[in-house]
Amino acid sequence: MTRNRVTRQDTERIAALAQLRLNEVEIDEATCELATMLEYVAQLEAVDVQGVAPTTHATALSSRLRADVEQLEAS
Amino acid sequence: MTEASPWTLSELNAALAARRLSSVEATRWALSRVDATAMLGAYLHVDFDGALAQARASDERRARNDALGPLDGVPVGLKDNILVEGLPATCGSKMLQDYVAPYDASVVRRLKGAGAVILGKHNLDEFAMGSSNEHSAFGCVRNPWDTTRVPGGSSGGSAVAVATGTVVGALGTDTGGSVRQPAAFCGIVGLKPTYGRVSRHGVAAFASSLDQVGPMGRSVRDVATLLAIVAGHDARDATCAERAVPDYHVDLEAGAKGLRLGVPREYLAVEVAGDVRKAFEATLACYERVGATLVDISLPHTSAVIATYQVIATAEASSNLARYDGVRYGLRRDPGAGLHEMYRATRGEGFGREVRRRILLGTFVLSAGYHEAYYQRAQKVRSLVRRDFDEAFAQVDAVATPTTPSTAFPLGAKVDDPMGMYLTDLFTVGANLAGIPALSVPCGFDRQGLPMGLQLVGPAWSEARLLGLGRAYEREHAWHARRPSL
Repeated sequence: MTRNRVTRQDTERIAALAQLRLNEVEIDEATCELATMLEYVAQLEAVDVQGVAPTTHATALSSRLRADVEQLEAS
Repeated sequence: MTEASPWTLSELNAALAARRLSSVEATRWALSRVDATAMLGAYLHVDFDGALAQARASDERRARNDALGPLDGVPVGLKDNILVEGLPATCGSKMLQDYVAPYDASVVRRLKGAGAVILGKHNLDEFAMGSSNEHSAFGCVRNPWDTTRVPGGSSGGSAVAVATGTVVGALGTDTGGSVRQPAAFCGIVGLKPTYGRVSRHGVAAFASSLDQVGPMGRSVRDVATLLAIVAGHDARDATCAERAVPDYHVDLEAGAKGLRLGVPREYLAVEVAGDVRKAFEATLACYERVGATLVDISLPHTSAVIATYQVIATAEASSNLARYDGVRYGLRRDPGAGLHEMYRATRGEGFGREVRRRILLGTFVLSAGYHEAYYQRAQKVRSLVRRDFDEAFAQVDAVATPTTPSTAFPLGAKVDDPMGMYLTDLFTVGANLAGIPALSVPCGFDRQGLPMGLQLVGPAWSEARLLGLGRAYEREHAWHARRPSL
């Protein structure tokens, strides 16, 4: 499968992964829509990301531990 | 009460404090407005008895001189993806049609703690996915300035509820512009705070690295008041920042003198409606008159923001919405052919077309063989979008743009054109990708009488500055005081 050509089989595979039951008409529609959207997002290939680190979240916070004291109600 | 009655939160609070008006009177008036505007479809649930009970309790507090602050006795509403204990929380989805929230979202606890009267739950695009409020399982919402047009989305019901006087303020959620775009389309003020400024606990997740709860109101001051109440650390949301909340009112009237406003040339290179462009230019001229300096800046990755957003938001959505499987929440459809068929039948029937579309794209970009090419690449481009803003804020205090490339479009115009719909978020998604705050303020009406919005984007934690800048414009042009004739 080339990146911009989506087949019905691809849609069926993705729908199975996503646990979505689609009827025949919905599979055709979804195949067409997936193809359009993948064609659009393919423009990201043209962006030079050499040496760029991915942003995995919007904040640099990491999980913190609170003191191990019984709390009836979190503040 | 009449049309001359208090319109903004600060006016209503003054009337309540001076006992010119009781909260029960204000709430009855609000409920009568809900009835009078029912054809707009803004409400999914009205808590008639609960609201009046809260109003009576507020009047008793005021009678004892025991008011809880500026929100005590003030009718507010919530987008229906924010939980209020004992009230429905449908998220605009058939999947959660009969779901009743078992607890309050942290922002709702804060509103209740401030004495707010919670009037009801507002219509939205299903699971907050959409830009027109046409993707609700419970019907579309209409724009009060022209009922043949969309109110924007996904917080469309909340924007209409505020614009038509059914509530004085509301909380929406903003993942790619869902507070700011409907605010602009309906002529009200809307803020997306810095990621981590407001707790997301008790808010149905769409895209967890982008979602923020945002206040919507009739004036910049009202939005500052709502933000002051809901902002701040919450131990129940691990991404909510442990950072002091500043006084959002102290510099509200400080003006724009000496501030540097960046105008990104890439935003003006795209197709922007003539009236929107003119209004934006007039707004910039106004800022110059009141002492701000305009600076031509560049945000070079602007053309890639929608693609980046589509990959990241749908990937996160496909993961977040996996929880709706017929086991733990809401709808269950069991054809009697085993667990997986129950999942598939439930999800196939429970989700609407737009939500399915996004789950499929999100699942695709995360699937084996494509994860690196799409998802990881989008995360890298996201870093570049953030860097663009960082570099801009080294030169300027805030960035000014139109909130949307056009005014409200007709109902049905884009519903069969998902890509066209996504492109309406071109000016708003950048702030979500960068995790920074952005404010939309009314900046005029086009020739068809439709509201337009000015967007002010600032560095992380600069909400006070953005509110001051918004107020500096609002002082010169009181567009926000106009009301639709409904």
